[in-house]
Amino acid sequence: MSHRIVIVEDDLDLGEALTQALGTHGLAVTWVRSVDAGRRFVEAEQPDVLLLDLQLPDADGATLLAELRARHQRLAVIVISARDALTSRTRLLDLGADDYLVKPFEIPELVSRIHAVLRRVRGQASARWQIGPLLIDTQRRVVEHADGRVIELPRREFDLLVELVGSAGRVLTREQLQARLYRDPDAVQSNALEVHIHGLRKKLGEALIKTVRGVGYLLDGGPT
Amino acid sequence: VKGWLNRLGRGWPGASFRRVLLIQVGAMLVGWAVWILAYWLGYMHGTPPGASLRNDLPQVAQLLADTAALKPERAALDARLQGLHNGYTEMLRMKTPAFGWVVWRADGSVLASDRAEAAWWAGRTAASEGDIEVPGRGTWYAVQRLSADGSMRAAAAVQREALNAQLGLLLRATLVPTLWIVPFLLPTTLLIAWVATLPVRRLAREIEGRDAADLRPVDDTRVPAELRPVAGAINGWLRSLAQARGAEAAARERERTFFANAAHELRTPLAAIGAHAHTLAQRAAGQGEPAQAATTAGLQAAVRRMAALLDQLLLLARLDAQAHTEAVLPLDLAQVLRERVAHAAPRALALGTQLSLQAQAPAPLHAQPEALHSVIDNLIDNALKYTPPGGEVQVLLQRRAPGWAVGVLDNGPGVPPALHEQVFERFFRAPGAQQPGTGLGLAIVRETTRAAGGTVALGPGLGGRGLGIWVTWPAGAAAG
Repeated sequence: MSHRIVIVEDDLDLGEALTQALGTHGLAVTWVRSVDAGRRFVEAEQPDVLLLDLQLPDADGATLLAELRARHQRLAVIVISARDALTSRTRLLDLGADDYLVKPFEIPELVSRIHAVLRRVRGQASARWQIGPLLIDTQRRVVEHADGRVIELPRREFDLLVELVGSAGRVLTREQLQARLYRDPDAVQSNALEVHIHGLRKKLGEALIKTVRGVGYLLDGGPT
Repeated sequence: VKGWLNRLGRGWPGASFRRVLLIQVGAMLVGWAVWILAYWLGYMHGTPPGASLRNDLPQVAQLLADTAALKPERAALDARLQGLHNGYTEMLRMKTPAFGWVVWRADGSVLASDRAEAAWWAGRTAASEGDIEVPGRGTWYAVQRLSADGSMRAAAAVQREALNAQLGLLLRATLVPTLWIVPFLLPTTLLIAWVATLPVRRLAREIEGRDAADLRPVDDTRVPAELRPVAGAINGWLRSLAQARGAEAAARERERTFFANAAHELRTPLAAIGAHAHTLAQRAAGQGEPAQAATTAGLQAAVRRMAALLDQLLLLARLDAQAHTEAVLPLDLAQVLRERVAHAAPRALALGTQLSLQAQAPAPLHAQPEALHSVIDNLIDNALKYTPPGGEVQVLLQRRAPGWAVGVLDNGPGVPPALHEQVFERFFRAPGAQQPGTGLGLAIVRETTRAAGGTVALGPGLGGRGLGIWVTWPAGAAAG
């Protein structure tokens, strides 16, 4: 399935370059140069991903973000900005941006972020995720291996796997995982998370989930 | 004396209120002493009216002689003396041995006397006035007078010691209350000085307790009139300081805007070059042209280097600009480290480097978040860059009162001790370094850490090799 991407970027060079570069990855890109054009395109065409610059000729990109966020829950927004201050980044993420990339960025990085935000935004709807030899079916709550085996997972382990897959390529800290998996993280036994990770590794292979000691876990490589 | 006066004169402008007041009290006491001395001298040598026995003696002697001439009876003499109200009658009433009298007839026989001693000076008629030595009873001062008709002679005398005692009594009566006042006077004086300087201290406290950024005028409504010029001068100075600060802040804001704009202007075309290079590389790979692929790879590497350099330069400039403006917030250093290590972990994974964190939560401190992040990110980035694939980087958090120490240790090639100082210089690159680097990372680490009141030190890395960089941060702000 091809995702429709809209770029709101006033710079001629960058807009042109991004359209071409994303095209080489098979992504269909529409490029507009103002907040107003971006707003009209989103309303009319319902794209999947919005790549949003901040310094635009007619308004600040942040105003468009705040405005669209209220009406288009399923639109994934990645801010691409030359502003790298922590405060600017935090403010935009608070406003509802799904990700924030500072210019200049590498195209493969942008492509993987686009896929990641799409997964997160559509995570609930997407029934099947492919990771390496594994196919994860969120509706039937089973994992199928390429060799035909069906791997059944206990509820907690499956939830944990879904969280890790949803953030593939990023580290989830122990606190984040505990907050998302357990209703009352303080009441859970302190090693519950380790036990579930251990269970997943035993069933799905040791290499799938990496430990970052003292921090948390990450699932390497994004699903397709 | 001249030197002392000079010193006093010189000391005057800086003399404390308390000293001035104490000097005033001292001067008052000296004045008192002089007054008492003058009184005493006057008593001894002058004739203050009705003040002493000495002045009354001639009158008493004359009175006794005249009374005896009129009515030569003991009872009459006693009655006469009782009627008097001078000091000597008081002495008589007290039965003091200090007063004595005698009345002689013309033939020299004693008509009456109040003392046995009177007989002793019976024969001494020569002097009308003078001292008489009475064996065993000291010196007496006696005065003799004849009655008007010459039939009777009377003498009145007082003991010298009694005279002196009276004087002593008088002096005591004046001096003792004065001396009693002194112990009350001293604390009172100090209290007055304390109360009088209260507004000065309040003013000092108000200014002392201020934040460096607080340039509001001081409250001069509760300041006494004498201090108002001082408060006014302080307020004037604060006003000009506030103006200067305002101008400075505006300049800094312009600078910040400039950097933000410069960043945008430089970064956007660089992003376009990078995107074009990527498109070229994709096409070259698609068409199977290795020479073109190598060229585009070189182009991409150059863009990456330029981007990194631009990032660091802008970060350095921004940290400089906002060193005084970024808000200091309460943070958990352990939480910040988890975030930053999590952020760097995917890159470490891609490099095949094992990155780990040892941090006991929580580690509260007050710091500027962006400054803190840039230090930690640069330390981790530096360690990952110089640790060969398969290596290890450990991030450690330790308590080092009054703040925290963060160590980033690797088992890479390390840095020879001779270069330990130079690695912190801007644009320093180790001789023969293969990794792409800007030479700004550690400069940012040190400058930012020092600005926050911390320290940076190099040490051994992991397993006796590599490099360990330790950064300490004070717990910071709000009095720790």
